[in-house]
Amino acid sequence: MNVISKLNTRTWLTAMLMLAALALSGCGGGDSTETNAQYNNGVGGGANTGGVAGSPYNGPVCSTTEICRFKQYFYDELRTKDCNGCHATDQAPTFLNPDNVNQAYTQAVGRVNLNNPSDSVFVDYVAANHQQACWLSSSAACASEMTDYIDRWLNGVSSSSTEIQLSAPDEHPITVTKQLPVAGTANYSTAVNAFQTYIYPLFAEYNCDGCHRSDALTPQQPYFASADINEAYDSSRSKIDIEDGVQDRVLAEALSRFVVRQRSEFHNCGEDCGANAQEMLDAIKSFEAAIPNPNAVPDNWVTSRALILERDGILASGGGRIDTGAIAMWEFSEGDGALVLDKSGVDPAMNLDLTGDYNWVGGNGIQFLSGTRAQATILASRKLATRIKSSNAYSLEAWVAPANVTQEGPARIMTYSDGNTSRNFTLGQTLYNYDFLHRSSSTDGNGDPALSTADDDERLQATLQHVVLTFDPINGRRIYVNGQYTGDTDSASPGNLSGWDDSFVFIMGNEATGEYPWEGIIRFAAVYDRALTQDEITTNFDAGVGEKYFLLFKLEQCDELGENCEDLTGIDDGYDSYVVFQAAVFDSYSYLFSEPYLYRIQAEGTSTPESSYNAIPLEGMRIGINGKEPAVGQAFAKLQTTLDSSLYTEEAGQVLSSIGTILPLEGGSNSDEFFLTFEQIGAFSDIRVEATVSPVAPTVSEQEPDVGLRNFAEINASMSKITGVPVTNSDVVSTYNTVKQQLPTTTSAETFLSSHQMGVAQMAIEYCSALVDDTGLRDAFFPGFVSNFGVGVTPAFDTTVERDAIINPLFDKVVGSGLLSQPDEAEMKTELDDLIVLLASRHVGETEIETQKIVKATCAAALGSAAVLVQ
Amino acid sequence: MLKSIKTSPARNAGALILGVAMAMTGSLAEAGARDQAKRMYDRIAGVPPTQPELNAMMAIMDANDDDVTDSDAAAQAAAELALESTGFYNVTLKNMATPWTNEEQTMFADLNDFTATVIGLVRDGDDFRKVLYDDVIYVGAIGGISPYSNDSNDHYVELEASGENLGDPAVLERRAQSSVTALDSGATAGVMTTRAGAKAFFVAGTNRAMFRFTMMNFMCRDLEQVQDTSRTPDRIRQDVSRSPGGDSRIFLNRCVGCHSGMDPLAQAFAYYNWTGEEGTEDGRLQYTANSVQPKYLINADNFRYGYATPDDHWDNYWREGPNSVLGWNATPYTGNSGSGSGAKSMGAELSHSDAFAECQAKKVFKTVCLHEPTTGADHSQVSSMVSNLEASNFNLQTAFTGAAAYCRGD
Repeated sequence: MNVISKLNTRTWLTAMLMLAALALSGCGGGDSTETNAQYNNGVGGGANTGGVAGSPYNGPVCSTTEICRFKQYFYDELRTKDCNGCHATDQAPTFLNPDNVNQAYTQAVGRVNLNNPSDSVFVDYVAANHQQACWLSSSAACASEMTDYIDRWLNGVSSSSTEIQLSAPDEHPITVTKQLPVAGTANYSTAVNAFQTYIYPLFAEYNCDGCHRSDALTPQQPYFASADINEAYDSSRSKIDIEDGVQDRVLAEALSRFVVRQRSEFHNCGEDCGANAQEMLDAIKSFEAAIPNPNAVPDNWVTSRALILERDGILASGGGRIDTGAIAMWEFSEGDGALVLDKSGVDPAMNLDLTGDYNWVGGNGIQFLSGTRAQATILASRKLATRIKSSNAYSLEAWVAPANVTQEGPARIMTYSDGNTSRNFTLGQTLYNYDFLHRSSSTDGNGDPALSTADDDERLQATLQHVVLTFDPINGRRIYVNGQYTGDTDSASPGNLSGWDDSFVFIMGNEATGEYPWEGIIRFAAVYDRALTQDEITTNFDAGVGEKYFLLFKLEQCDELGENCEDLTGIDDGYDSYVVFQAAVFDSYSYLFSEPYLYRIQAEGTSTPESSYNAIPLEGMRIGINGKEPAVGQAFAKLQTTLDSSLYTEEAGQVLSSIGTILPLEGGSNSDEFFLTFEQIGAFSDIRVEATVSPVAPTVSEQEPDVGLRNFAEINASMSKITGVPVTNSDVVSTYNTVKQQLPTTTSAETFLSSHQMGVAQMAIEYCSALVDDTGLRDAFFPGFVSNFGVGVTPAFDTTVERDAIINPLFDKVVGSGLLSQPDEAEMKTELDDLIVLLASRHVGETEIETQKIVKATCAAALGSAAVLVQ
Repeated sequence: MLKSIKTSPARNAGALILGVAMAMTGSLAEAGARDQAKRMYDRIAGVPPTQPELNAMMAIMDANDDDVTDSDAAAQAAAELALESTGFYNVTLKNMATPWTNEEQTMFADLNDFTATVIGLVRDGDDFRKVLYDDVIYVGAIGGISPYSNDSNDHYVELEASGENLGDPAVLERRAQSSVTALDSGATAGVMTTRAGAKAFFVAGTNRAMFRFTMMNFMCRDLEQVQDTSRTPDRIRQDVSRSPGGDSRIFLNRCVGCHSGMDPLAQAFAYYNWTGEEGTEDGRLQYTANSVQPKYLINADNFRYGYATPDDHWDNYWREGPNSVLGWNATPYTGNSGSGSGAKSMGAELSHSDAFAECQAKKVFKTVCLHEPTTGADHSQVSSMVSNLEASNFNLQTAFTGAAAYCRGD
């Protein structure tokens, strides 16, 4: 590592660390985490197997502070493990040399990644269960513990000196590597087909499909033998190391899990393990060969050097969290297996056993599917009751991403309980609310009344959130979401916790009965035996969750041989320029890249002072992955700025942007290689011009009907216009308002219903009634019938002339003459005449009142007909 | 008396259904010029013509009285008579615009300042593009109704109840919106800043509703039709989760497609808010010059690296990529830059696009022809209507008469 000559931190980090420095004493490495005062110099609860536990070290004292930390946190821990059986004296490297810890240190130090402990050889070996040396039931859990050992060795467990040193990464050219295609990318179907041809059939041959599919009798994730070939392929991607094929590895060196599982772990393969492993490796090579090679990076691109997150990133570990008082803590960093380690260091460890369907989530976390449960033992859970009853205060902290805002019950996120109605505490979800149930002297055994966030606030969202519940005897229960106190007040007085039952069990994702499942992702959780303060909660929220890295992209472009490199900025002063991103695995499917800034590091072997510069353009920055630019997520493509030494500070460099973006994950954080491209930087340019897009011709289909209905308003207006009765007539308004929504709302004839016709009839009757009741209007409408309105039925309608005095005006005004598209004049008039004759015959000798009714009915028959309704 | 008729429905229904049957039979006959004239009138005015009105149209389109329309141009000229009908304003235009004024897109809503302004702009043959940016509003000019109020729609409810002809400038008059509502003239943006527009689309939420519904109502495109995941996501606000339910694929494949283009455009509304609560009639438009509304900054912790809105500057990222086919043109406020500040210039950006013109043509086509354009001839007609709109400085009346002439029947 090229350790830089000056100390560099980001602005936020500086502020964060000042807080930590105020709170802490003691000095260590770069980890900024304030540690639990109860730390017991060891993590995990797995049994110490093998080794020489109890064998004292009698060699020379550690000669440096670093070596002392090595001894305390790494050497002493591993001497109690199986590693000690070989690597003490028998087999190189002897990093557990029992006679001289200083010599042991020299054997070990070259095998750790100082920037990123999880990328160390030691971790790789236990992850692969090298020589079956893993001391836990899950090799992933062993890898996690080994990472912690190395981290504590390198960085200590207590730190106030928390600066993260930005150092120049090793220089790598952009390599266009073959990746396993993901859904939605170009070669996905090709890959699935090849998978189906070469690898998938072996799962049936090896009886993997007896468990690893959802419809198996004892379904076991991952479902790489699923009947759905796409699901099977997607589940297999992380189990196939495509480099086995690319590098044509021999069996002993193969890293695909499908191979390792049989070759080294003898997973359900009996005497066939060796042959099966070779057959699987051959299949993986055939599969790899079927996937097309990627294209090379275009010559015209202006690019930076390339970086891999875990290989080259500088870990911003800890991030300023305050964990003091944590009596149980889960980071979900194991990434595999069925065990989640309690990292609090407080014995007994409350390791959680995972059951049911679940997925490990990229960037640390477990996705709880319906029925997933992460459960501690009753014995281990007892420490919660014991310690919290003693302190009479506690906090629950979690980073959660609820899968939806529809689950209720409350759905149990974390619970310390004995069943559906008996608990010490529960963090639950009810729709948009977080619920806090807890047993005290002022609540019942089920923790009721619960404290919940207010419905209207909709605090709970289906996205990653930081939630903290606190209880203390002064303030009672409180809920904090994303660092903010929600303001919801506890209806119960604080009371005390003396009634807590220490026979309950701690579970995440469900109730002990299995009846209140919660779906979502938990990325971190902790229980404290004290109430966190608002400042502490804010600090932990600001620290975020998951591992963050700094990626330093060197602004340098070289030829194909990696020679003749040119500084893209054109600043020639012995300093190298970098664009630094804060980067992290965001979830299982993406990376987060945020807040880029320019940073300059003095090159080795130079001593000239940094020069002044200004007006150096930097525009159109994109992030490349594995030799290509993803189309989505390029949030810096419109960046337009200039590099200016007056804007540069030692602490923060020159800020280029304050935003962040997510980019799709391809192979994983240990293989995806990133680089930057620029449209303009210094004298280099590659202006992108998007291709012109041609409009698509409209789709041509069949001719639609060219007639339709009048809608409700048109019917009303039409009847008003025909009859002369204003739309404001009070009777009309009343009826219209009643039937308006019963009338046609669209003009499509296909939507016509009989109920529409009933509404039309009522409107027609109302208009005709208003027409006939208004002497002026009716006399104008039926000028030939004026005198007949006042006589009885029989004399009024006994001649054709009299009836035509009704029918002809109606036809002219309602239907219109001379129109071929309207009803036939003779036929319609005949029908109307028949109607009048029929009605008159039923009311022989009756008065003028019935005469007017017959006119109204005839009018309504015409007005309510299709002659008006259809247009 | 009335009740006695209503109590004998069977008798009347028989007669009515008979009438329907007869009418349907009649409609199958070949249509002559007179039938074509009637249909044009029906479709534009929403009500049937009187005999004198029909005769007047015939005099224009069938000069030699042979019941054959003389030409398309003559038909279009005759159709202009229908524009004088009360029904065109009180019924056809009101019905066409009312669904644009509420999220439910219902026609069953009262007249309001949004619909009145659409009606007025068409009536006066004004440049219809102003509907999204001009300092204009139409208010009632008759006596006996409540005055215009920023706090109530009573003025328009009473104007509609009067039954008066909205096509009459003495009934519905044009005013400067800023003089009526006291909103700064520079903050007015046509119907988007009317009381009804604000009540429907600036209420609660994040003001993205105003953008989405303006796209739907005036560009004929919902967000589904314009989504483009390849745009730069740098302006997507903090409230948009990048990992909904813990799955960022949803964001990368779906959310980003709309938000990357919408958020930088909807930033134009950053100073607007509706003060009332959703579902109530109370409230008024609030405009906070130079001060971003809190609704633009809510849920910032959903993605803290998202964009924090500092002002009402907007950018149109859709001028590039697949949505460049919407045909973005220069505007009076921003030229061809595709960026500006505030709702007025953003409204002009939308309304000066080819998509806006095409959308108005299609909506009028649907209103008049009673169906969407489907055949090649239909699409050609829409193109022709767009050309006529441009040639007439966006007088929407030309679209109505053009569509009526096209759909007048064989």
